[in-house]
Amino acid sequence: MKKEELIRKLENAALPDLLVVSHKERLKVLLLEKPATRKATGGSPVRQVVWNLTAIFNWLRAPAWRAAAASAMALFVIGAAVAVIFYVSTPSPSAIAANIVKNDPGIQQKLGGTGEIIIVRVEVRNSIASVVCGRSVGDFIEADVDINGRAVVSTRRYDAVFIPELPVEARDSAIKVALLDPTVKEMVAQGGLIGRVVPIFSSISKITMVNGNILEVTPAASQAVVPILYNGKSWLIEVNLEENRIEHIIQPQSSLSPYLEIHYTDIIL
Amino acid sequence: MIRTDISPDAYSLKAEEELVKRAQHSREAFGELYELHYQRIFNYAVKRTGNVQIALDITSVTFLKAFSQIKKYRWRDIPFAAWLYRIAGNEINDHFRREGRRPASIEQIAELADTTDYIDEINQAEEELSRHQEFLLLRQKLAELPPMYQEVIVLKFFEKKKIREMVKILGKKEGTIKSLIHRGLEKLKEKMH
Repeated sequence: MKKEELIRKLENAALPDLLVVSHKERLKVLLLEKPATRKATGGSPVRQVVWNLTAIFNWLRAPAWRAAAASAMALFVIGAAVAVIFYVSTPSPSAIAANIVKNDPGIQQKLGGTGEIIIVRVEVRNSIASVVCGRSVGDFIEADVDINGRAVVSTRRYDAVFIPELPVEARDSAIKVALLDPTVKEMVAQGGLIGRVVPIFSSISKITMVNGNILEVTPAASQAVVPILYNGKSWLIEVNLEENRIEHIIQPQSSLSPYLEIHYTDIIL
Repeated sequence: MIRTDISPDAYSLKAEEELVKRAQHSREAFGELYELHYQRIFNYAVKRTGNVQIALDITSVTFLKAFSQIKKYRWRDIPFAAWLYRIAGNEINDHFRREGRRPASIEQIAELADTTDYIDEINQAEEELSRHQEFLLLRQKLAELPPMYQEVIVLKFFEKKKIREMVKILGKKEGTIKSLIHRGLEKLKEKMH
């Protein structure tokens, strides 16, 4: 099939508006008339506990229960204190999951390169944690961690990573510094392509999870990475923009992952 | 009073800004936004997923999230629909990653999880959808592509969005979107063989 034919098919594949009126009405009622909606969708665990405790206290205020309440309350306070001590002295499931990911050889291998693994986000549901991690450059990976089994059970790469543009002057300066290296200069002379120069993010950068399989990164501005596509492989040149020097040259990445691919949507040279 | 007779186009950006600001403090104003945008978000979800029940779940989660986050929403001279499209798009991409499991937030809300009262309406909509075989065939092939390509192709061809609107919805550069459309079409063309 020709591209023009495909485009015509897509343009003509009309679908009328569908509507499930009852759903529309029910959702609207839920959104606009029930304060409980907020609790069901956004209540933190702490808030839930506070809410539950408030309910218990209100119940205990009834005169008939006051006598029994005093001893029950004392037991409760002791129990709560023990629970708090236990909670504080035990690492949280999030911390356990982050630690498992940081030390997992499979993750180390998949991320490639060297340097500290940065944990971007941890979400725990039941005994499975979803951990997003990456290094200062390269791909981001989301790993599912079985907290009870203390193991990474699956991993996924992100489809897209959004990194803000560097100012033009900073970009030109980063390329200039990268080309000071004889190897880099030779690769470009031999037809290597310089891709989109992006700022490096680090553990002190603000990293915002957009949702699902897309990350938006707000990085530190003092360092940039100059990607060079040479012989089908991607070299990443980390440049320190404050000191105008190359920090690292990361050896060729074997394939163009989605993260690297974005570097080459706008080839500069 | 909630007006339900207004088309989205009738609102200028300025008027929409005022409505969004009111919606940050008023449920009634949020109701107006809901009436304005429910249909387009549901249709978008149907076109992305090809399934009425899933599209209903995604629409629910989109508006629940919009409702819970509206106070934090910062107006940037971009139509409010762009934000809703982005939330819905993320939910849909999540759906593909969850491999069909319902969003946890839906399971927590019994009123939305239980569709037995209006199952006939859902079946009717599914039946209507099944009459559009050409669309369903294209969508089936489209579903074999990575979500980032599905997203741009559906927005451009099924939702008839202009590139500049897609820039606002996806938060990507124009060149990147054009490149994604180009590569998406190439990949889809291969699948159509």
